[in-house]
Amino acid sequence: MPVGRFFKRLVFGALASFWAIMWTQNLLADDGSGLKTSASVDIVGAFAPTEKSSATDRLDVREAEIILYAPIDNIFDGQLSIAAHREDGAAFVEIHEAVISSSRLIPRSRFRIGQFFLGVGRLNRFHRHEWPFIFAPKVQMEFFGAEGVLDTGAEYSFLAPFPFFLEFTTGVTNGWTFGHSHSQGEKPRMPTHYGRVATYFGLPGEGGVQTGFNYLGRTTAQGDEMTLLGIDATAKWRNAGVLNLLLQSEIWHRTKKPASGEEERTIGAYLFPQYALTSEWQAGVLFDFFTILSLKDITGSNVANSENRIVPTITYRPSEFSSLRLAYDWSVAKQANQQDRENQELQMQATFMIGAHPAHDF
Amino acid sequence: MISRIAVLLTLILSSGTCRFVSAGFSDSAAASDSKDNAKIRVVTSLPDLAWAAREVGGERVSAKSLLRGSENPHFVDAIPEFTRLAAEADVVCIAGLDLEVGYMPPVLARSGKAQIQPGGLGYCEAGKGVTVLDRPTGAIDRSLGDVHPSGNPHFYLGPKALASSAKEIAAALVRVDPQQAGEYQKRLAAFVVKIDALHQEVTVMLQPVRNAQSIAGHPILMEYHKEFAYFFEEYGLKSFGSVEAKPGVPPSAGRLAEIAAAAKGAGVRAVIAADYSPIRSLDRFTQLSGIRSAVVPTLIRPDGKFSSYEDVQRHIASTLVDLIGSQDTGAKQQK
Repeated sequence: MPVGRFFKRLVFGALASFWAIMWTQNLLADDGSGLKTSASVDIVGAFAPTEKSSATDRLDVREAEIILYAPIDNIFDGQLSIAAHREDGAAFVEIHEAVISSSRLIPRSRFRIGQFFLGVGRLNRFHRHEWPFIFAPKVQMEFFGAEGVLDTGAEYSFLAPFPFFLEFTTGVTNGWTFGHSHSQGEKPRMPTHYGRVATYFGLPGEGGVQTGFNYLGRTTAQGDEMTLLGIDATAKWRNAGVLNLLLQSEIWHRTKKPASGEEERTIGAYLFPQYALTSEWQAGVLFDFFTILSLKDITGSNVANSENRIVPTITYRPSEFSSLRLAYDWSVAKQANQQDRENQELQMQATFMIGAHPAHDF
Repeated sequence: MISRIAVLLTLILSSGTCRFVSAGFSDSAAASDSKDNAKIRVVTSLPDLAWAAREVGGERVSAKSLLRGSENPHFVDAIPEFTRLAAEADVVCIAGLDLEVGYMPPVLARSGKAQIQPGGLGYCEAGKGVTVLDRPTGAIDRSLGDVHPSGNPHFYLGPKALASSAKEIAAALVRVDPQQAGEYQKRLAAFVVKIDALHQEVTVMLQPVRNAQSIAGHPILMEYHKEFAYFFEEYGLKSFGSVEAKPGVPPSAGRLAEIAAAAKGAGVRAVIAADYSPIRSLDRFTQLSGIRSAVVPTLIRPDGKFSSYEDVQRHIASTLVDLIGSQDTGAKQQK
């Protein structure tokens, strides 16, 4: 193991232990600072039901996260989250979020500075253990990585003074890396910059839908340009406290223009309808689609290709603090003149949260 | 870069245009808004608090509630529209006692309005003005269910507790509009008198239930969830307990059988529940115990049948009288 990596792990390990101790102490002492702490754990597994499966046949703690948050003073709020996750058989401890933020300084505005998950799309704005399904859809995995894009920078949101909800969010982050990375990366020619416009409509039957229009761009040190355009929509119908129906969807288009070579265009989307069987049991199906639009053969002709997944999922969620989830993941990758590649997995997940529970956005 | 900015601006403008069209941003709406702009804008979590704010604020105040009254106030999403309404408000008033802990923090934070953030001039927790019931003692944790560490937050069902909480609303109004302090205090006093009159009226309505309780010599009522604690307390009624074993946790089949037998053995005669409670559990309880149950609205429904606080109070009282009275009549007929 390189010395630098060892040192990094040591430092993060020490930090995590320190905060774990602080956390325990805080539970015992109410010092009036308003400090709240929580720990969340996400355990997942994938198992092979047939021979046509690439499942790992093991259960892992995908992520264990400690979150601390509190008002810093009369203007600012602070949040720190440290996550440990398993990667290639080794445990990594890293800062997920270290943010100073305020909604008191500029009218109708809030901003945050530090390291955070970028405020674009739907899944990228939520921690993985809060997703309604186990594994990321292909488009999320390809465009943002398995857990989403986090980076260090600044983000600003403005709530328009209109007679309906319209919120603008824009941000700029370092962009030295993009997606999950343990390296420092390289200084980009154009840092990661993004924008989201979100609105909300009421729907018949005590429902509502939030829709976001998203843009994200970055140019690497080598001059490779990436542009992402996406739409996200989340609709909920809640009655008597029970989330009877959830419809969640995102569609993203990515253009990659390398400094030299052919432009690559890809598009992906997912739709996840979920219905509450009872107040504790929910059944949903993830429909997942992904294709490379610009795939060409040696003659320069377009090559039809796609990856499709259907993932029926059942969730037992007795409270907002715990969930058990079981899913059957069937996927097939198709490409003209090639044999289809099929994969099946039986997946499971257990999540829990102890301590304070930060309230969620819609 | 310019093309990227153009894409973003196009998205922004198209989104805004579509929403303007769909919202029907007419002149009349704008005129109505400007009329309201002259008033102190109060946004409350519960319709009952909005009513109290209108009573205390009078013509100086326009009050709107985020909830419509039909929701289970424990489980509400942080709807973006709530954020918009909060951003327009001069005063935001919630029940507090952790009732809105699941949705109000992000609503307030996203509003970007300093005045209504906790500790701000326009932030008000009505529950702070109430003598809180059912405050847990000893160690609590989530294995005990959805326990409110600060005590029972359903004070709005007790008219005197609601009047008491209105002091907090009046205080917030005075903070943001100090010139009218005298007027708000005068109206608060009038509100207390009005609530006293309602309390006396409903107390009389509930006399048959108290009589039955007195004759029985033990509690004859119970609740599905402990949200009638203030109502029972203020009207001299006693509760045998709740059908739920743990607050917020649906009773299991075993619990239903156990509590049904216990309630039957203890001579309980009626169960009352909020109308968002699980009907199947209540029906099963009745089936097992023979004890009648009824569901009632627990919040004002501004757009529905129970559009005033008085309607809600009278309806709960008459439902209890019906539940107990019909059994008395049946018993007399049998004799």
